[in-house]
Amino acid sequence: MRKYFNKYHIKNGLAVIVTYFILTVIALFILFPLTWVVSTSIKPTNEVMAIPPQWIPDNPTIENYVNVFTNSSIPRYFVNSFLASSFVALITIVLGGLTGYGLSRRKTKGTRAISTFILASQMLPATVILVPVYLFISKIHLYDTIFGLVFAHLILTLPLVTWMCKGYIDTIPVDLEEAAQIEGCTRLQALLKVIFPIAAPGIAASGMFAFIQSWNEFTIASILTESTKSRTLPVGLTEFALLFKVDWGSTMAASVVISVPVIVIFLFMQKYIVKGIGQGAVKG
Amino acid sequence: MVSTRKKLFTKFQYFQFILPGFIVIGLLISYPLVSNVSMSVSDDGVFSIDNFIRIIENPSFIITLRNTLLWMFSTVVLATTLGFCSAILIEQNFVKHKVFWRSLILLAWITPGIVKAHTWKWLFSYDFGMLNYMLVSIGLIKEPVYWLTSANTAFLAVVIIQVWSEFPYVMLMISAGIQSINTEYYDCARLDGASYFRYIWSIVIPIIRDVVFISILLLTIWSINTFSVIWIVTQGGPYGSTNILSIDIYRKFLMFDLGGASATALLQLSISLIITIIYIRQSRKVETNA
Amino acid sequence: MKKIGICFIVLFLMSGVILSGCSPKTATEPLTDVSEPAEAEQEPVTIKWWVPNWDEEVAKVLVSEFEAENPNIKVEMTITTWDTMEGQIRTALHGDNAPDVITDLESRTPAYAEQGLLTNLDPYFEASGIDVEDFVSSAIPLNSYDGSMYGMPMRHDGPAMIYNKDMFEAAGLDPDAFPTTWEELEEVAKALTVDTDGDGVIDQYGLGWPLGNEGNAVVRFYQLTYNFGGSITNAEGTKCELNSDAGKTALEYIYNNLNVDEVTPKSALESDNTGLTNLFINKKIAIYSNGAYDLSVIREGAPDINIGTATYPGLGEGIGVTIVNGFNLYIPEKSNNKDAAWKLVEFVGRAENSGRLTTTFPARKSAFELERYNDPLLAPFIEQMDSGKAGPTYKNWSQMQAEIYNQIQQVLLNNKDITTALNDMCTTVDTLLVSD
Repeated sequence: MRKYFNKYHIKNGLAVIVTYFILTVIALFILFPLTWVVSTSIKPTNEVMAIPPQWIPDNPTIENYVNVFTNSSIPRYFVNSFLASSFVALITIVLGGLTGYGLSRRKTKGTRAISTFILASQMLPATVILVPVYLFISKIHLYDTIFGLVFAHLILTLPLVTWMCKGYIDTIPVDLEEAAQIEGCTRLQALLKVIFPIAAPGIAASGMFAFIQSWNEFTIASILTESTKSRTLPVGLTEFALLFKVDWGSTMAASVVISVPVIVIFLFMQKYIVKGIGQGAVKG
Repeated sequence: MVSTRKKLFTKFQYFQFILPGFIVIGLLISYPLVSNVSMSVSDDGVFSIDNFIRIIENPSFIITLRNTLLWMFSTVVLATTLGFCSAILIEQNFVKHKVFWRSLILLAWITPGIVKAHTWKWLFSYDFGMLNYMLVSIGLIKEPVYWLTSANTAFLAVVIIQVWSEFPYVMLMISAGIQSINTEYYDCARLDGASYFRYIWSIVIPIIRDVVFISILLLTIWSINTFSVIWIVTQGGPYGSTNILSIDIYRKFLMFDLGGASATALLQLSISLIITIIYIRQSRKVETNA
Repeated sequence: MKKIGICFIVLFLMSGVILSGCSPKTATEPLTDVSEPAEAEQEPVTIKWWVPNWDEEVAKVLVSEFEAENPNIKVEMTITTWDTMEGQIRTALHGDNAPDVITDLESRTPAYAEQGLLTNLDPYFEASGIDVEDFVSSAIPLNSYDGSMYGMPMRHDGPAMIYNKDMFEAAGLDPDAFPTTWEELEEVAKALTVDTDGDGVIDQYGLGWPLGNEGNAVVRFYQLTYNFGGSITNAEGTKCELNSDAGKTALEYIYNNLNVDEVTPKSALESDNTGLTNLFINKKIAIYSNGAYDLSVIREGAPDINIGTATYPGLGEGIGVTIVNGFNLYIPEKSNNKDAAWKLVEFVGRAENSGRLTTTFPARKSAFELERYNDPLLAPFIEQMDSGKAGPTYKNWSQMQAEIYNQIQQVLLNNKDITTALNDMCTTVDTLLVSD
């Protein structure tokens, strides 16, 4: 089913080798710092800053992991982060998807101006919107709550996802919707049954995007959350740093621990990207 | 597309789609935007453009501006190229375990920002860094390099970190775009006997053009707004060689010089807007020509 | 479609409510009368205290003792961290969610006080009969503004010299006689810079400077300027004086260490204070300067090193100048429970309690009587604390600091002429002083 692109067989063995070679190089580039994260997470304190640096510690230890699970609020922050990011992703793709659809299907001067405004709203650096956003969130009594953070994070994700969805929907010919209508679908049915399945990979990608933006956001979260009931992981990670001493072992162990569930979600979402195409009404 | 066609929805119905998202964005951004503009032109209720003059008169402003443009250009070009190439390669028919490769690359993206910047800084360190150690032991360099204390290598270092953390996004976007390409196009191309590269160039790229277009746009905005990577790794140094506008904004914010921060932010905003508008215009021209 | 329409109306209405609620508000009047702290609280109150994570453990104990002493007051602690506290506190002080008591860096206090964000503590100090003389005198300017106290000094310290006694012995130097002048230090550093394994590469350096971090490097530079008899600005704070002879000698000193005598490793250019500690633990440097908190880090990282500590070298007679800073407790102007908040501040500020809370030194002289300050390694730190100088508190300081660091880097990395660099530095600092 997912062979639209792939049918272009390259039988040349050299091309296969070159492709795998380049992919391996890219993978090594990605893994180089990440391996260091894992390596540091199993080092005892006195080996963390050794000269020369070592990949494999002399005395590997799991004490950093034990510390993360028993002696920190990371598990709680994980729940907070997960809730906040999921809400952000959900709200973003619903609102952004609809807006993106409208902007893609109706192109007039007015909608172009709206598109540009939406894009421009993304251009103010987080540092300067910080204080106004803080005052705003306090005014609606959402300070130090997950929902306040979700609301604020929409600033970061919604404009971008609107544009991303607009881009994906632009690639889907209008004829398909019209054909569906001729076949007796109502307009909404056409949207849900024709556009949605074809755009599913894009929507899934946008959702992942929104999730990660919110998951990684530090500056706004550090101002809008105060207590353990709403603090998120990126902010929580700073708790392993004391004034003059950073517990790198535990910081790295925590970032390994929090990556695992996200990877699992990714694997699931990726299946969905492929599946979306499989169900697509493009070609029966 | 032909123009004479029955409209799917009426004008108002389209706006019903657009409005909810638009209002939420407007709601969230208008107050920050208004307060930003007002803070930049008046510190005490009196209108003045002193904040702007103060910024432009600063002798290092030109260098910062140049760095900002160079930073934007190099990170966007490199991240787009690398993201595009990895997406094309992964989507090859013969590549097995596509989900594995994609997830592996996306790992860079989900790594928390603080961990990212600190880990890379550590790797680049002269005394404690693995990079020098590895490069020397495989014989690529003879002597360890002081990556972060010379202007050129420090700039290169922060660019590498930024590209590392952002190209997975391009890869994800383009992979999703490629997935939605209709099989018919491929059939036509094969019937025409087009070469693989010609297929990519004349069929794949035009179809995913919108996706590529948006990726580049977003990368540009992110890149100009980035501060934490540079702040953690070089603090804008050595001697201002990695200083960009967003670092200035952050410094001013830390001093609670909100007027100065807002004015710098507006300058930065206008740069992004100018670049974006030129870019959108150009790509619309290409669109109509195509 | 109807639903979307309703959604739209609701959102539109919401926008009206929210935006109208957003207009800038004038500062709220303090609810309690500051001049006359009330005797006892009848109604039970809850106050909020923002505590940094390194104080968390002891603070919990103190809070439970405090609550036992004041059954009417409940303390709710929120943990802050070094990476987030500055932004979070700044925003909170300007907004509506400020807690009642905050533990913060002393040197940030005068600027907050100047902006009217903090409660003047003078009446409280007076009412509680606290003797200001008992505070380490260098702590007073960091906790006051315009002659009034705004912070309760709690922790206060300055760096001293830390060195490796084994390396001194190996180089034929007396490990108990640390150099007392800066010239002598230079000679000793040369003797300590050696190639220990005979492979032609120097692997042990005499003296470490934290030149890779803006804040750390600039502190060391102006500290050295103070040590050579200079200062950052004139007494009125209107004119930069870093281009004086003292400033020149100071920058030359660092330049020579790094580029002429090479007793400082080149990698110091990317090192911060923590980096130096790690170099010291790895036996790559023999001498560096840092706070007393480093002693436990070194003991943990390299138990085999025989640590020595000493006061800064002076100019002929006497000891050198250290730069002091620390942490205090203050009450935001917007706090609604100032009297209860003061009770907590006063409780934590007591000699025995602040002595327990700090990981380094308390800001009270009487607390030095405590058993744990008997350690001979701590003596040099205590000895120079009283004569220590507070860092600058100019409003535009962080911009000045950026420019000073920029010029230092130009000199050390690009061999820019020292006099020109210092003059350029002062030109910028002067403009920033004018707009201060």
